[in-house]
Amino acid sequence: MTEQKTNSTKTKHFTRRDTLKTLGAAAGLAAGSHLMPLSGRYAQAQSSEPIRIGFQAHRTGIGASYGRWYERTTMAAAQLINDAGGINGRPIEIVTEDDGTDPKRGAEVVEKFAIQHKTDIVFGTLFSHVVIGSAPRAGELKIPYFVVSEGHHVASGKLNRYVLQPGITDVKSQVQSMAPWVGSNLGKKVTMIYPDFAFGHDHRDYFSAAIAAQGGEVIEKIAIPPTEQSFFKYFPRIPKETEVLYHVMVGPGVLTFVKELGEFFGSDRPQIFGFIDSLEAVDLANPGLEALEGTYFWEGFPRYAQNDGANPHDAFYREKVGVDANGASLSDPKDISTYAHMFGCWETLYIIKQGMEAADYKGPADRAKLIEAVESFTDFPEGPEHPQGAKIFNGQTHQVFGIQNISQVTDGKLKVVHRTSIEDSLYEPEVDYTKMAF
Amino acid sequence: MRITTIVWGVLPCIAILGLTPSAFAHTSESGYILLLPTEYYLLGGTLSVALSFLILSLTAPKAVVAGYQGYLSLPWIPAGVFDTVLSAVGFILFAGLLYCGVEGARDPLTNPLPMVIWSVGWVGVTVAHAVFGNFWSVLNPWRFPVRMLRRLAGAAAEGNGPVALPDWVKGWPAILLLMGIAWYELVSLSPEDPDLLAFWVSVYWVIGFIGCLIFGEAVWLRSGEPLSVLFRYLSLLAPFSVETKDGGRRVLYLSKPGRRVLEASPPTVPFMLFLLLSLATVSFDGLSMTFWWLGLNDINPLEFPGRSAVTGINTVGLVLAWTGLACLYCAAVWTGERLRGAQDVRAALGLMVLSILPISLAYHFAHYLTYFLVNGQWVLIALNDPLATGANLLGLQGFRVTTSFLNMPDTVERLWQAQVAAITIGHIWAVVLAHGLSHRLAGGRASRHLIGQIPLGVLMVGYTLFGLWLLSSPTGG
Repeated sequence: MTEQKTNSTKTKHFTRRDTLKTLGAAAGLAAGSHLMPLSGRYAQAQSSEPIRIGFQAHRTGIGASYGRWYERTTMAAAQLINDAGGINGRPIEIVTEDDGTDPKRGAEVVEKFAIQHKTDIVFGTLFSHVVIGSAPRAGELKIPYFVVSEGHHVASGKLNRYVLQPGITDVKSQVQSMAPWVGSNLGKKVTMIYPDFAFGHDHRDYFSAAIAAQGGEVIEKIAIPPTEQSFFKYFPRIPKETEVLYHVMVGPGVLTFVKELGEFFGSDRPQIFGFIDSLEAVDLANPGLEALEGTYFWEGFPRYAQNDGANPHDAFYREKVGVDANGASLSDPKDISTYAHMFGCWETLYIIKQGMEAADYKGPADRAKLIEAVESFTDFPEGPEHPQGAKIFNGQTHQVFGIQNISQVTDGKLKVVHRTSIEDSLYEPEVDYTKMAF
Repeated sequence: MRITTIVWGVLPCIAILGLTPSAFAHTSESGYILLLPTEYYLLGGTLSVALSFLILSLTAPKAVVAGYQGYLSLPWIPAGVFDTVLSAVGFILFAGLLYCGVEGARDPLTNPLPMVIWSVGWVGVTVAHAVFGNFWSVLNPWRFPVRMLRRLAGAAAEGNGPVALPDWVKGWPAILLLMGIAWYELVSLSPEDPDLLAFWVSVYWVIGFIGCLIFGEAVWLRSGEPLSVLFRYLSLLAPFSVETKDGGRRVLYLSKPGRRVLEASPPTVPFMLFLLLSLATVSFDGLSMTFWWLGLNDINPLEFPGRSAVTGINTVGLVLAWTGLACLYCAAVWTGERLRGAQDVRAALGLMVLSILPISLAYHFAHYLTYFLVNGQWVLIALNDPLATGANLLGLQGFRVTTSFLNMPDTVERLWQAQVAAITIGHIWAVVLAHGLSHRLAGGRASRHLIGQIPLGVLMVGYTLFGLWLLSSPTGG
C-alpha cells in the first residue's frame, strides 16, 4: 500500500444526531464565544437539518501529509462554528471522503458528495491536479466547489463558475509579492534554481517578471531534472555576481540539496531565498539543515509564533487547532504542521458561512445564490475568522489576495522580517467568472 | 566445537555486522534515508548473505538439519468447544467490521474496516503467523458459518463437499484470488474506501463460503482461499505448532523457527507459483514507487499524477514482477539441478520454494513497517469510535496521530536499520533453509549438493541487494 504513507488526525464523521449532541455539549461555550454570538439561534438549530459540507480530503496518496493537517484545521473550525450556533441556525456536518490525491478519484468523490451524500457544497481540496480533475464535474453537477489549493488555475480562468478560492492566495500573487522586498533588501541580481516542471516553471516565470518590474534581473535560471539526487554539479553554474539565490526545490532530494548547498558555499554565500513549501512539516532545527541559518523563506502563515503583537489572532487559532508556538502538534512537539497553508481551510469555512448567511441559504436550490453572495464580497477583515490576516477578494476571478510573510531562519526558527502589503500581490484579472452562466 | 554450533553462532554475528554502520568505519523519511550512507548498508547486507552462503557451503547440509533437531512439547490445548468459540468470535468480528464499513465514517482512516483489513489483517496478521503459527485456521470467517450450516443440514461439521476439487485445479483459485487482492491493494483507485471495500470483502467472503460448501472447508481453505494458503505456509516458520494426536488430544510444540519448513511436503507447481506471487507483489509495491519505475514510465515523481494515471502500467508491472521472479527462480533451480546431475527438476522446484518463505516474511515486514506504525494509530482511533457516533470505547478521545518519527533523522535511521536487519536476516535464514532442504533433495547424499545450490544462492544474494536498494531508493507516488 503506497500510502504509507498516510497520516492524519481524528476525523469526526458527524451524523445529524451527533452534531446536535455536540451542539448541546457546546452550549456553554457558545454563550461565551466572541466569534459568533448566535446563541439565540441555537434553539432553532435543534430542529434543523445540518448543512452538509463535503470535505474532499487527501487522506491517502501523495498529499496525505498535507491532508492530515487540512483535516485537523477543518474540524477545529467546524467545531467552533457549531459551538457558536452553526450557519443560519443550522449545525454544519463535515462529510469526509478520501480522494487518494488522484484527479479521477477526485471527480468521483465530487459526484458522491452531490448525488450520494447530497452535501450542500464541496470544500477543501489542495493539490492542483485534483482540483483541475474535479472542477468540471462540480460544474456539471452545479455544486459549489471551494478549493484551498494555492494554484493559479482558479484565477487563470481555466475552471468554471462553481469553483472558488476565497480562503488562500494563489502562487502567482505569492511569488509576485516577494519581489519588492527581495529586490530592495537582498539584491537585484538573482539566480533561480527550480525543479524542471510546471511548479518550478511557474516560479521562474512569475518571479522573473516581478523582479524585472523592480529593476532587478534573473541572471541565471538553473532547471533541475525532477529525478536528480545530487546537486553539486549544478552549483558551478551560479554566476559569481549573484546577489540572491532563489530556490524552490521539492521532493525527497530537498535535504540533500540543502546539505550540498551549504557544503558548496560555506560561509561565503549570496543571500538565499526560498519557499517554505520545500520544507513544510520539517523541523528546521533538525541536524543537516544548519546551512539554512540566516536564509529567507516565504511563509503564508508564520509557523513560529512571533510574539511581536502583529497578529493577535494567531494564538487563538493555534490553540483551537492544537498547535504550539513552534507550529508543532500539542500532542507531539516533533510533529510539525503544514502551518503555512492549512489556515486556508479555516478561513474558507468561515467564508462559506458568511456566504450562506448573506444568501440566506436554505438548501441546494440556493447554490447559485451562495456563489453570487461570495462573488459580491470584496474584503475580509483580520479577525478570528481570518487569523492569517486581512484579505481582498476578487469576485470576478474567484480568487482572494492577502499579505505574505518573509521570514529569516534564526537559531533554527523562522522569524518574520517583512509582511507584504496586499497590493504587492495584486495582478490584472485574467477572467470574469461572473459573466458565465450557472 | 561442533560444526552446527559454529553455524548457529556465526550467522547472527554476520547479520549484525552487516547492519552496523560503524563496522564499515565510516523531507521526509525518504529524504533522510537519502542522507544516510545507504551504499554501505547495501554492501554490508549483501555481503552478509553471500558470506553466510559461503560458510554454509563448507558445512554439510545434514548439519543444518541436525541443528534444527529438538523441540519442546508444551501442555495440551483444548479442542472442540474451545475452537468453536474462537471461530464464532472470528466470524462475529468479521461481520462487525463489515457493518462498520457500511455504517461507519466515510473517511477511510477513521473507519475500522479499511484500517483493520489492511493494517491489522494484511500487514499484521501475515507477520503474526510466522510468530504464533496458523491461528487463521480457527479464526477465519468461514469456519463457523460453514460448520453451523452443515450441522443444520444434518451433515458432519467437517467433511468433504459434494464436489471433489480436481487435483490439477488446486492452487490456481488461490493464485487468481491473491492476484485480485494484490491488484486491489496496489493498483486500484481507492482500496481504502469503506463502501467499495465492504462490497469487495463481501464478494470475497461469499466466494470462500461457496467454495467451502461445494468442495469442503478443508479442501477449499488449503487449495483455493489465498489467505489460508499463505498463512499456512508462513506459519511453517513459526516456533509454535499444534498437532492433533490420537483421540483428538492436541499438543503445542515449541521448536526452532523454520524447523517445520524442512519437514513440509513439497508444494506442487501451482503452490510454488503462489508463493512466488506473494513475494512478487510486495516487491512490486516497493518498486512501483521508486523514481526508477516512475521515470521508466515517464511519470514525474515530484508531481505524481495519482493512481489513475498508472493503473495500466502497474497492472502490467505486477504481472511482470511475478512472471519475472518465477522465471528467475525456475532458471536458478533448474540450473542447480542440472549441475547436480538430478533428473527430476520438478521435485526441486516445489521443495526449494519453501526456502523463500523467510524472504517473503522479511519483505513484508520491512516494506510495511512505517505504514503499520502510522496506520496502527489510526486503527486505534477507528476502534475507539467504530461507527462515528462519538463513542469513546478505548478512552482514546482526543488522541492525535503523529508521523514525526518519519521526519526526524534519528528515528528514520533506526527504522531504516530495522528494515535492513529484516531483509538481511530474512535472506540468511532462507540460505540456511535452502541448505537444509537440499539435504532432502539429495536424499541424504552429500555428493554434488553444493554446486547445485550455487544458482539459487546467487539469486538470494541478488534479491538481498534488490530489496535493500528498494528501501534506499527515492520514492514518489
